[in-house]
Amino acid sequence: MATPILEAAAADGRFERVTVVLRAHLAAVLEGGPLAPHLCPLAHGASEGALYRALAPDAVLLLSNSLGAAWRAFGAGIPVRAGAALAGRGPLLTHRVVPPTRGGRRLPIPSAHLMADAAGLLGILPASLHPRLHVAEGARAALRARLAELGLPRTARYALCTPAAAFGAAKMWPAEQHARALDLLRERFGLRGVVTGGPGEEEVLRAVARAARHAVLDLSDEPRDLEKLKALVAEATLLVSSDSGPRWFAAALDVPCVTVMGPNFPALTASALERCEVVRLAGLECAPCLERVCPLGHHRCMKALAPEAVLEAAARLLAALPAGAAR
Amino acid sequence: MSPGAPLARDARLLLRLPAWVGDLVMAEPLVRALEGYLEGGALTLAGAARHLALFEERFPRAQRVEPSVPAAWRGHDAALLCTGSFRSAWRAFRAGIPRRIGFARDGRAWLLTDAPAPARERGATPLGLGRAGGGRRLLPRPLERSLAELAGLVGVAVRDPRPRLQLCERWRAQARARRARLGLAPDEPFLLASVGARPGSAKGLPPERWQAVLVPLARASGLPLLLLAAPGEEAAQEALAAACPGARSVRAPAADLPELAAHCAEARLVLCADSGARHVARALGAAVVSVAGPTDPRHAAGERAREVLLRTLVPCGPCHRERCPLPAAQALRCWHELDVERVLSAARAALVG
Repeated sequence: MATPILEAAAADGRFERVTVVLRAHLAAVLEGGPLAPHLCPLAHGASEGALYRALAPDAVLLLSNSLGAAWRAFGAGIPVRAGAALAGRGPLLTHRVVPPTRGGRRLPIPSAHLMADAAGLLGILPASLHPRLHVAEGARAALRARLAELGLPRTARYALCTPAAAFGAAKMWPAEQHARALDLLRERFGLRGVVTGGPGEEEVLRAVARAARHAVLDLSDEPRDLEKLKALVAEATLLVSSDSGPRWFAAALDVPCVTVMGPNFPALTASALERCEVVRLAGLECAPCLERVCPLGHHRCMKALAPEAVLEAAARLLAALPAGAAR
Repeated sequence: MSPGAPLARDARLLLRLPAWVGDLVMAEPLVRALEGYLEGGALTLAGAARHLALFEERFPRAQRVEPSVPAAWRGHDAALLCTGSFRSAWRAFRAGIPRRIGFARDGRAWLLTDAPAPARERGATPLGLGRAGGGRRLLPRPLERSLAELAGLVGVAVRDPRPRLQLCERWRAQARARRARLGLAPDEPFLLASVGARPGSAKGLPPERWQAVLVPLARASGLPLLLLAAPGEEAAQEALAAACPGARSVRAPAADLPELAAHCAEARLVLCADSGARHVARALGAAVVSVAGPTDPRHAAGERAREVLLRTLVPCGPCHRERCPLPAAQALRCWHELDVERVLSAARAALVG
């Protein structure tokens, strides 16, 4: 979601040097594009404060909303510190945005809006908030070659499924329903199901593949990283995703995406929806609860969500694609 | 976090549209989203007829009403207010509309049922701006962003945030007929400069600065120059027409919004200040070079494809004042210090691109 802001900052002639500090494992997401020369990955366990002191920037734009990030920037003596006044960190920021509120509580607004508002404090004004990622042709070709070895022909169209969610079990749709949705997509559009996820999510992937009636390609035993995930999404005809990171890969690569959502506010992520449909159960009194695990134990927001809703959303998205855009 | 209850899909909703042309254009994605959302309901667009002309042949299911007519507000289940005025909230309240949605501004929160406080900014002067204003200040941000959040509050997703206007054949014919009367062939390429400004307004580029841009640009490009101004803003246009040899002036009568839109859509390049014409041109996908003086660029920093915005940093701006508060000897610094060469260079690049 931050890519438009980062690219606008990198292209801004007012800044002599722009450094993008991010967790090391995320650097692969931004590799291959205009941001690559600006990346400064922060290794696990490394001191963010020490890095700030070494870089000695004139200004820091904090796109995370944590108190810790503001504290470290303050501690490093960066003169200009801009960000959203959340998590009680307002006094640590020299320039701050107070998001809209309702009844004294924060109004759920798209994170992309909040980041753009914060960027505006430094005069960074992206021309669009639509995210962008870049995938090297070599990465696509290597992926297709490997998928072919695994039994998916190079020109075959597939529906990629990322069923897990690092946030917690409450965000996860049951494996059987993911599998049923993939079967429906196979029947209606001839899309082969491919299932992937992050480290530690292997059991979820296998459960989806086991529950499907058609031969879903399970990548749980393959080496998986964010760079490969980018290529997998870029080559997919459709992504079926939980409300998690891969959804934004699809948005940034203009791949149609159906996101199944349960405990979250759709308004928090209501940006870059041109090719994304959020499918959720309406009318539940307990949702959105924002909890990592269902506090009532029934997890109805996800369990009662029918796979047919994903199929219908996918049909709408694929039908709305401009001529020549369909993969 | 505190969202509102979702709007019923069969609700009868009155949408009070903004009173300014640029803001109206920025509200277009919301209108599109609401029309799609209200499957079994009804959408009423409350706005000035001359502005709603920009939505001709669009939103066929929506009823259009004049907001100044109290009776037009009655009979709705909900009102969504794109304006920040007390008056619009009062009208919704007096009309007995049960759900009234809008930002808490202008002392009207008590009249509304869903009234989020708008985003604010605190702290030092933002970089790239001269001054931040004083006290408790609202965050300058594109209206389409705020309206998308207001819609999200009631469960409506604005899927495509980019304002889009659609050119009607009638508009095109009207504009072409005008250009024919001015000696231009229907398909002849031209430069369009929207040069109007309210008399004495600080928001318009002074005619002598326009002249410094337009005369060399027209000469270098070899393209005919069409000058345009909104009704009531013709003084600046006439001054400029006299100073730009060969320029064609759209006047008597001034162009209405559909005609302006059609000229924008067919121009090779649109040059304008930070005005309504800028938003109309952007929403039609035209190539635009715009210049901003006392206005904060964050207000119009929404989705844009083919626009270059130029401004200069002055210690007193952006002041957003209608009249420049500086003494006469220093007045309009934001305009007089704008580098004409930069504008020319951006315009030449846009013509090549």
